[in-house]
Amino acid sequence: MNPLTLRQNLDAAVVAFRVGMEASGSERLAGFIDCLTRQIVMYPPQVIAELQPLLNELMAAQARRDYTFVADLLEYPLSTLLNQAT
Amino acid sequence: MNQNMSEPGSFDQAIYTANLAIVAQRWPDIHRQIVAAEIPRSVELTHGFPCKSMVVDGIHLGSCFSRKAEAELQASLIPEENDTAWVYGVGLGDLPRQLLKRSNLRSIQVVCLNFSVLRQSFGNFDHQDWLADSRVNLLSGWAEHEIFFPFAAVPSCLQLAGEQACHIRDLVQLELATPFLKEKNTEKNENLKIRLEENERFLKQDPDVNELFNTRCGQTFVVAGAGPTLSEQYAWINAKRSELVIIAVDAAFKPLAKAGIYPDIVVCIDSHEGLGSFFYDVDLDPAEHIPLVYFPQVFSDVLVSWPGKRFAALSEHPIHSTLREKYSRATLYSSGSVIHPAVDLAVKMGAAEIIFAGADFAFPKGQSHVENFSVGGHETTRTSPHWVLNWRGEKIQTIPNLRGYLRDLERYIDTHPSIKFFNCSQEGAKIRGVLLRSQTN
Repeated sequence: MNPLTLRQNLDAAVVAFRVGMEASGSERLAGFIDCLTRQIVMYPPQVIAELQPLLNELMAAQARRDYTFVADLLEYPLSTLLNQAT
Repeated sequence: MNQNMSEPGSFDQAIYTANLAIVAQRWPDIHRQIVAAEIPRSVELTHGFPCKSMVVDGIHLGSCFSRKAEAELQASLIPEENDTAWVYGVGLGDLPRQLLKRSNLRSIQVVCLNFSVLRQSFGNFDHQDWLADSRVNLLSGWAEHEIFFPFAAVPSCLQLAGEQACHIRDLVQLELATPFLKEKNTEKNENLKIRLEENERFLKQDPDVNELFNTRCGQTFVVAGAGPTLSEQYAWINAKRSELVIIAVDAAFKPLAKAGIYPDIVVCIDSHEGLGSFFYDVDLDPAEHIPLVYFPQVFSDVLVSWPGKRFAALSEHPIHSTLREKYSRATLYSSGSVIHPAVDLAVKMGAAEIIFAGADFAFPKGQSHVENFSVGGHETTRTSPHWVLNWRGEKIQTIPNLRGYLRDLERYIDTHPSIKFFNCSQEGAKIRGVLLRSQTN
């Protein structure tokens, strides 16, 4: 049970990954993806189209455990895009 | 992100020489190690982002968007009022640089975790300002056995830590994971409280584990874990059975029994219901004479069905605080793994030497457990990016939990210098403070 919102999960994941709290960051990232999956149907098609490559990059960075770049993607381009979508 | 392109790593000899000149003057040993360091498999510089960063073996050393904001966040782990700080990893130098802005800071101990990475960073980024600051001391993670507080870390350097710095990396990561683990345990502890109430009846009636203390003084103990290498030990344990006191963790009981070895004591602390399977499909009749030492959160069915005498123990964990006040029961060291109380029991029973068997803390040959440890035989794990070194100095896969248990065991061993600790397999994780001993000795 992760009661945090999309934004709270994103912010918490960024902080955790930036300071080296990998397990916490991974859980918050999973919470972020869960929230995003539920909300994405409400986003405009253009935002969804821009999200796709960013999410691919995010997953690739996570898979290679490049958490600094995961935090970068969450905090900057994804955050900006999600702000536009809401 | 189309601008997310990297270019092959350049190496600016002038910057490198200038950085290294300070290191050579102030820390000649570190200088030698940097000069001798190998070049990483892949080094790229990022471009097209607001900040210049470097990617080593697929890991960004620092943020491409705001290295300053990143360093500020990392530095926030060091309370403002502290005049000393420890920094694990150098990265692009932003964290020590950020901390040096604090006028009250008198010393920063910067611990290098990978000299190959540091060499590349020195060849691409100017580090002279912080390296020349008299408050900075540069240390090698190779030489460090313990972490110091307060500290902050450069996460990318933890990912890229060299093999010789893996011990200190694990301690840093364990400490950083502690708040999250506590949060998880708080959720889990709500369920445990119910179990503790259910099992209080056993605690009330069963004797204190301290009745076993000092009953086997000067003897050689085997502490049997359920790691894959346990099966390598059956032959010699069988051959020397009469000379040994064997303490088996719960999951090791069945594989040992199926190999014809019944331990002298079984230790059980796990609360999950799967614990029951450790005692199914095995002849329990000989266990009539085997004491079961348990923490009261264990799956109740195991306590009911155990044919031998039960001895209750508690830990120093807060979950046991009410029971400690209510019942006079001795405590055994526990830091998550059943290996910990098993070893502490051996020590308190009077062990002169302790031989680990199947205490692998890793997945040698891709296996998580010894065969027969549970219903369905041994498990083959998924691929894990986490690693520790085995006794041959090779990287073997593990998971963060096991790595944490290993480092906590090493800390426990450090506090018992009068006891000799041995291991008999080269395949599992190397345990600091433990000597490797041939199986035939």
